[in-house]
Amino acid sequence: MGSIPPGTRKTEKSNMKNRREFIGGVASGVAGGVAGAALVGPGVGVASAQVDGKKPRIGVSVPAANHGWTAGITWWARRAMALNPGAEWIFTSAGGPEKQIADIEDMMAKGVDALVVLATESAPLTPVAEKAHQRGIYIVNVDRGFLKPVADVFLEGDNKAFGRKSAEFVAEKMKKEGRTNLVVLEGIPSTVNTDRVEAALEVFKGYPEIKILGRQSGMWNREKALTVMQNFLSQHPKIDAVWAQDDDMLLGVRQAMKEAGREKEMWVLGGAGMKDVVKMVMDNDPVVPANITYPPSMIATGIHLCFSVLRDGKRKAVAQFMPRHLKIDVDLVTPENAKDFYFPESVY
Amino acid sequence: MSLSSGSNVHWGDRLTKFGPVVALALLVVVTGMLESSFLRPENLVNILRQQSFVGILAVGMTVVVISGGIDLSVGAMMGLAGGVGIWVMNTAVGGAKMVAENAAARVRHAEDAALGLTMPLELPWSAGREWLAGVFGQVGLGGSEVGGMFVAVVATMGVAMLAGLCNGVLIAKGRLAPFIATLGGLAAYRSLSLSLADGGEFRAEGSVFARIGTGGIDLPYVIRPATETAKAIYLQLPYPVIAMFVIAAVVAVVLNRTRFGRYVYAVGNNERAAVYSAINVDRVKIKVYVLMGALVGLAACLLSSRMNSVSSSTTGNLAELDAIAAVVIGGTRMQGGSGRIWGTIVGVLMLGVISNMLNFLDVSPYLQGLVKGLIIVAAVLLQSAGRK
Repeated sequence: MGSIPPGTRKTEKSNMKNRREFIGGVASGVAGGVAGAALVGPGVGVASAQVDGKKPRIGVSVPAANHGWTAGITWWARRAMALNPGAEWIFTSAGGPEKQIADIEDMMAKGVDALVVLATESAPLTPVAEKAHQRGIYIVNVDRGFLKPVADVFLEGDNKAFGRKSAEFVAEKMKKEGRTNLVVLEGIPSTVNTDRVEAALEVFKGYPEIKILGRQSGMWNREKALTVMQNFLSQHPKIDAVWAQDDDMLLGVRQAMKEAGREKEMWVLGGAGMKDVVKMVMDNDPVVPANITYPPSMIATGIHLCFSVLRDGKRKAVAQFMPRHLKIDVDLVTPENAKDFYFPESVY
Repeated sequence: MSLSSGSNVHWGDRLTKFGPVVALALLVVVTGMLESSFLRPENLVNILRQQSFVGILAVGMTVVVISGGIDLSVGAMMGLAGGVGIWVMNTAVGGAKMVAENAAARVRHAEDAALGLTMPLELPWSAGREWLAGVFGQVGLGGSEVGGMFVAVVATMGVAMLAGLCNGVLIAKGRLAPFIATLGGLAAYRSLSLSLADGGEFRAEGSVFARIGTGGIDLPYVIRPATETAKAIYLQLPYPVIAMFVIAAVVAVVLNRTRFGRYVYAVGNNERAAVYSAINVDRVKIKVYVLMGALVGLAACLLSSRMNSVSSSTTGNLAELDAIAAVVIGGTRMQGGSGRIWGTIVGVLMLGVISNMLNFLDVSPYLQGLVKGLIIVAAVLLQSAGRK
């Protein structure tokens, strides 16, 4: 906007500057592009636009590995994709629902035949999943379900059993030990969390002596659970037990308890079978009396399943034999059976 | 007026103006050569659609920056406005059910009291919500999804513009630095959102609401030809994209052809001179922030419709940084007093193309922030070097 007052002679120097600014504008854009290309790691080739007409193209969209369980998901997903070279795989991970919606739209633009989706959050992903379904893309939904039946196969851990079995253990143990004060930690808002929490609360209703002091979301995240537990500890002078439903959160809760010097006061029940926590159960740690399994390998099951439907171009014939809803059972891990669930070489 | 190097002046200015556009064009060409499916129409439409929400925010942010201010609260404002919109919509659509459930709970409580049981009355829906549901029912907006949509839009725009007004008043009358005032807004709006949803999501009932954000105008380009069971699917130009371009055009006209627009540039360029020119600087500033609020409200309506939900913790998180990045890359200076709307649009598109390119090249999503940061710094450095 008119930066040159009238009467000034524009010198050669400022001409050069204008030219420099122009080149600067262009260079900044291109530099960005080159920087992006330079950051590409070795072995990641340019995605080929030519695809063998017979190989199915399958997109896998999962949450970013920002806590232990989702890191396990990424690890298992990559292993499963590597075991099935008969398909062309596109893998993306997303830190939040908006990015995941964008990832799925990109995959639709690339012309995928199928999608394996573990939603970051159930509600925001449902509209885009519906769009993919209307396109005729085969959808395998793992773990965090969509709010509408748009997936061809929905594979989840039995979250109701998770909630029920863990709550039964907690309630019985509390009854035996005469404990009454319980705090509840919730996870990311999704069908997984709703099923677990509702099932657990149903069980606790049957034990009227148990008082639920507070219910807050730790978002299945260690740092968040630490903050939430710190709040609980300062609000309530006596807590007897914590229903934490997740091992990442359990670690945060435990840290809060240690920092407040109240580890002897209560014990915690987590979930999902993190190897460090299973070890604590195996070693009879008084703060961690048990655990519930919820294996991240279910993403691998979903991927194998998806490939088995699409291979050899027999999709229509095979799909009709696939059950729409598959539930994986969960196990209660106690000191007696913990060694069956301990895998020290696992990533999670 | 002809200076001795007059033609060079003209040429130099034109080059600086079009620098970002040429950069964008080059980027598109380079990416197209690296990855041919980048140029597929569906991919290009995807980029436009994904950037449209930040684009609308960035248009508003351009006006704010030109006036010499900044607004860090737009992401949180968008989350709050969208969330409240859905909350109000659910109250309208499901209102009759809420009123009935509360009434039934009261009846049960009365029966229990008659039997001598003294348990506290626990209403499934709060009294305030029940009252609101009653109001909607009487006004005739209850029960229908279309009425709910209307209510949601009004509520969203209202909350966003009110928040914008708060920002504006604090900055103009309260004489707070824009950075500080909107930083406080950022924290406050996010926390209001979290507390209203108890940390969870606002989920829209029904699916009519989703049609605005996910629908579009059919273009004559077939993505999937008709099968025996379904009709053909055409590429759509999404409504949010149309909204972004229309909004950009309208705001550009306001900035360049109205008195208000002229005042905005004046205030940003030299506030004291503006005061001495008898411009009501306070009122201009407040209007700028309310305009920002209105645009945030529009973006919130579109985004919450696209996801048919709003997450109280993550929706809009860091959106303000993307908007500011687009403004900066587009050539608007942070000190204020100059800038162009279409420069911002070019900046928005550039960010979108780069994100898309990084996705194609399989770069980790975490590193994409690094690339964005590098570009912003490079753009500002080179632009300011050119100006010295």
